[in-house]
Amino acid sequence: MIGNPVWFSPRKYSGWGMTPNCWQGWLYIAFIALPIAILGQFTLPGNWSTYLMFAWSSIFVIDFIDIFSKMKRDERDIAHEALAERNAMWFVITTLAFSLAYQAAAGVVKGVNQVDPIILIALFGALFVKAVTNFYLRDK
Amino acid sequence: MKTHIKEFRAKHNLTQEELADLVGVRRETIVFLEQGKYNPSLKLAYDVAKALHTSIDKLFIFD
Repeated sequence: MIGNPVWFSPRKYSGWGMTPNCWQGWLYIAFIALPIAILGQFTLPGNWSTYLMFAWSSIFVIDFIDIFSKMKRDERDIAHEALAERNAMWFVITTLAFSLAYQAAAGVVKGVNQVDPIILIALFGALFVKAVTNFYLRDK
Repeated sequence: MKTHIKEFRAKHNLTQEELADLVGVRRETIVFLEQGKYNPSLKLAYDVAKALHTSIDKLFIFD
């Protein structure tokens, strides 16, 4: 689409997503950020600033996904990424489960329901994604 | 695991980068393969053997 996958590398040590590995990648980032920064300085009639920012950002969210999916990874990269993501997911799930248990226990003591529905959505969402993935991989 | 990738690569005058391009992996993967630090998939082992005009059993030695 707009960006080229060779301008970026997947982030390994500083989060998720991708990071520019050459000046073209940084130019691409500047190309996205500059109109947003300029648009923020002006007040357009109605909600036009919001609409324009949303439209501009949406184009690049789609482009990011496109670049990320086309980024060159060999089998060793994929295996390492899968292990790193699995370990990260274990940490997230353990943290969420402990949070849920703490909230439930605190709720019982206080006699109120104070379980955060977002935690439940995250845990059940992860469960669903895992089940769908295993179902998809069943015969492969 | 030991490999003879380096010897076969030298025999065919191929650099690590060229072999990597031939089999569709990054150069680092060839480095780790040559050092016996990475166990490749059967497909990658086959592709490397094919690129070096040899067979898997001559290229990879499992202790």
